[in-house]
Amino acid sequence: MIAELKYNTILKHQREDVDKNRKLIYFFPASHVFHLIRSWIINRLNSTLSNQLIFAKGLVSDLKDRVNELEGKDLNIGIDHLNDLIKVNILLKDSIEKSNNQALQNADILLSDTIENYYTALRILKRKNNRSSIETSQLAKESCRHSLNSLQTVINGRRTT
Amino acid sequence: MAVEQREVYLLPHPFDSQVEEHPFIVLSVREANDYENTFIGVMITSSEKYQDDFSFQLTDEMFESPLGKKNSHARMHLLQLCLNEEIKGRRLNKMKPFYFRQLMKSIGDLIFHFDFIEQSN
Repeated sequence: MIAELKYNTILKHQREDVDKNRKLIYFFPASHVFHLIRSWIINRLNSTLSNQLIFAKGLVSDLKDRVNELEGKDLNIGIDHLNDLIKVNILLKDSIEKSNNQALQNADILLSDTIENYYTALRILKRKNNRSSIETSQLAKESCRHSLNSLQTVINGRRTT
Repeated sequence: MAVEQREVYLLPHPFDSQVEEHPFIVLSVREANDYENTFIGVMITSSEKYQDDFSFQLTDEMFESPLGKKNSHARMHLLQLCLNEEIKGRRLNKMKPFYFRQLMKSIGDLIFHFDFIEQSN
């Protein structure tokens, strides 16, 4: 399970791998003269991202199977690793979108699917994470006051329709 | 003023004008927002103090233009009713559809234990 070392290590390595590929995008040659380099980068990228997508789907499936075992455990390390991994995938997706290159379209689709799966995994962990109660925060008070002010204004007859 | 889903606006602190305004992401749709010139928003903060399981991490790449603050996150459980007339200045930003969908899924799952399914227009 993710609370243990095996997943946390894999997540860390996935992050490093995706980050290496992100750096390659900066060197993606625009000209068709560099056809071989372009093909190599695309193949490498698609292969890494396909593997990552398989891993992400497997992770979600495994977490769903073991969801009862996760209840109340300290899952913060896994949550942090997943957040980092999502961040680096978002950076790669952004680099691909900015390159505006049709040849990278498959990579973009693979990334979207992977990010969706990582978010699903993150939500499972967050739902089951051990959460200690805290006092009402200033932000929560501010939030309630905002809603109250808005409701009072609406109740007082400021209808516009 | 037309307020659209995914847009980001600044709203003043409700009871202390000395405190810095917070940006909000608009969650509700234009039809609902227009009805009484109100909208449902989720608060963005960059305070490390409030990072927890109800935080949805936000990065510059999720928006049409950079957010300008590191460690920004949406406080998913602090949904609030906001008045259009309280908006400070112009629209700050707009969230990209793919990431807005992830935010809504997370709010549905973690705050309501509901699966929000996106409707096509």
